[in-house]
Amino acid sequence: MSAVECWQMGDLPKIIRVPAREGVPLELRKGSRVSVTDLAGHQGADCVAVTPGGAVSCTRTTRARNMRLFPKIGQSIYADDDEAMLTLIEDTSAGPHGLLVPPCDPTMYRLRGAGCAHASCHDNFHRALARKGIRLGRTPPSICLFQNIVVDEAGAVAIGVNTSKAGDRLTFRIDRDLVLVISACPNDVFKRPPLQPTDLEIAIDTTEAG
Amino acid sequence: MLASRHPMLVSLSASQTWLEIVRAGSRVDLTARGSKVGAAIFSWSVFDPYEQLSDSYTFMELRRARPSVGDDLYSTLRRPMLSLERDDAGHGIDLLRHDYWWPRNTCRDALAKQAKASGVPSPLQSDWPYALNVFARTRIGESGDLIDDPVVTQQGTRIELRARFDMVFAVMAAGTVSPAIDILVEPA
Repeated sequence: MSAVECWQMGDLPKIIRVPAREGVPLELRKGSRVSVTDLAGHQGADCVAVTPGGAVSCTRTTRARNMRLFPKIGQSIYADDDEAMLTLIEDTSAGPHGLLVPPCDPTMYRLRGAGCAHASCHDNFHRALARKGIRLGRTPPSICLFQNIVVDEAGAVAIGVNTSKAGDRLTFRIDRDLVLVISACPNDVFKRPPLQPTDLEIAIDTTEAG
Repeated sequence: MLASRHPMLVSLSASQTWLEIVRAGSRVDLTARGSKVGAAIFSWSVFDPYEQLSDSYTFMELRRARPSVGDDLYSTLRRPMLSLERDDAGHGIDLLRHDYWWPRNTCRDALAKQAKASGVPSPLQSDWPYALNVFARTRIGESGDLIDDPVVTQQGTRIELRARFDMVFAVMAAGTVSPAIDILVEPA
């Protein structure tokens, strides 16, 4: 079934809690605003977006269009059809955020000794999209909010414990009708004990939605 | 379509494409024919066109934005796919900007047509991989800006890659001299 055939806009509550290690799909109309808040601090929020026509959020296009590792306020996340999907309008965190690496997946956890049954953003994405009837043949790299990924001028990539604080928030304007999946990243491999994955809060403002 | 068991040498001018099955262990050399030349490269498994050469998995597994000699480039299944064995350009493979030489659609349309005509297994156009670019380099500024950092090539500047498993290797050449790039495949 294609994204187009199963597309239906639903009414969303204004506040949604994303439980730790889980993902939620949000059907959002152009003009809406969505805020993602790290409730406890140090938590990552991995996102992908898909339009009714099947365009998928694309970190490569976004880097190339903005000529930046991550958008500044006023810049957009782009789809693989080169059109803007989300525009960053607020960021209360100190950053950084990531547009480089893929979502965590079962292979990553298995290779790093965490076993075969570890929850992952990869699985959260595909399960959440499937709830909306969308099935992708590939896994796009994530929009990694609050990810502490730093690339130095020599090109070394360092991923550390997220530095976001409780209450830090990013807000995006939705530029096209789309399904946005937000995963409260289950990654505990890169976290120092006693840090564990925690919940996210999503706020949706449809005042200016089309 | 079967991979050749003999060395194969092709020369490409700008906008020309080449696509071939390359067996595990084969060496693929990309040699500049002058200055300001380069190529967009793509690769995927012969047996699973959805296992593709990937910038993002390479960033994750390598923890480097600029591969060096001795590094592997990774697939979307986190497997080493190509080993970088020689790089005369010094960090001459760019992972940060997929469109350094060509827009994705330009490469995809030409290569998908070529793959179909030659019977090479390939992904659907919607799932087409993103290019890595050779003889290209992007620098990262302090604030996260991406800055073009051109690679100086001359006749004979070479990048050598080794295939880690059976794969389709595809190239679209770019540059201002003709021909722009030589490709030599030495089977294992």
